[in-house]
Amino acid sequence: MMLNCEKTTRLVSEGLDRELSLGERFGLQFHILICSACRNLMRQMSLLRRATSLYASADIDHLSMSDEGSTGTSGGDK
Amino acid sequence: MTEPSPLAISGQALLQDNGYLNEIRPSMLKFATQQLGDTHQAEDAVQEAFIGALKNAETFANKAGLKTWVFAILKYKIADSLRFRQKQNDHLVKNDGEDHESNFDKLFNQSGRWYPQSRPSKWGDPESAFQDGQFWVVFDACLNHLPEKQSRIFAMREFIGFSVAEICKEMELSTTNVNVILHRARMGLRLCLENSWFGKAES
Repeated sequence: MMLNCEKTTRLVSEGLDRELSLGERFGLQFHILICSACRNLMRQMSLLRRATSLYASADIDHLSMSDEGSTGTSGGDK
Repeated sequence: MTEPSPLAISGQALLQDNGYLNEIRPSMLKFATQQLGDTHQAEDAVQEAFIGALKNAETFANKAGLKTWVFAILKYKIADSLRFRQKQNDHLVKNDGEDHESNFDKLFNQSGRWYPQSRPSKWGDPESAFQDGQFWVVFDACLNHLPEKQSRIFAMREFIGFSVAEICKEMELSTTNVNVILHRARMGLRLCLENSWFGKAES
């Protein structure tokens, strides 16, 4: 059964909370392969988690001051 | 020679300098309008933020600090307006868990595919966003913008690190419920960030 976009977004979200079954992962990967919007969304969902943990680690005060002197970190793009 | 000279621009001077005001006003207005969805209220919030900032402006010796400060005040003004609005809505809407459903459904058509205008676009450069103080102000505002139940459960999951099972127990909700709420919270946060930060970066 093909996943539609809405169900895909649900699975992506649940994938952040539990281990998905093999079938679910397969369905997800297949949908992502053919749908760029959901591909973007999937990537953004993990970015959200990273942003949230950065935010929670409360290093924001330090971050907020680096507003002007842009630190040109060109890290590995992975 | 490296000592701060008496000519160093104080925050107060910066705020009274029309050039600087004009520099940051548009982005503040845009931000406030996006959050509030109302130009008049946005104008008011920006105005109040400037007035609030002027009171403490002397403590800021550089633009970056001042800008962060002005945006922080703006954020509180916005949160205030939203809270007030929410209170008014609570009288009209009994169940705050469901009131966003209709809004949410608008992302997808009947067959569960994205409407063209709601398709997630590619985000510019998230890594550099994380380095930008203003991004975190937006992020904070987007979090505050979530319906209360969503933001609470999202916080339990992401900030405290509870498992879904633990949240179910704590909040007396079913797994399905918690999954739905987390999904909505993430989708809401994603959409808010896209609209307020990433959307305009690239198409």
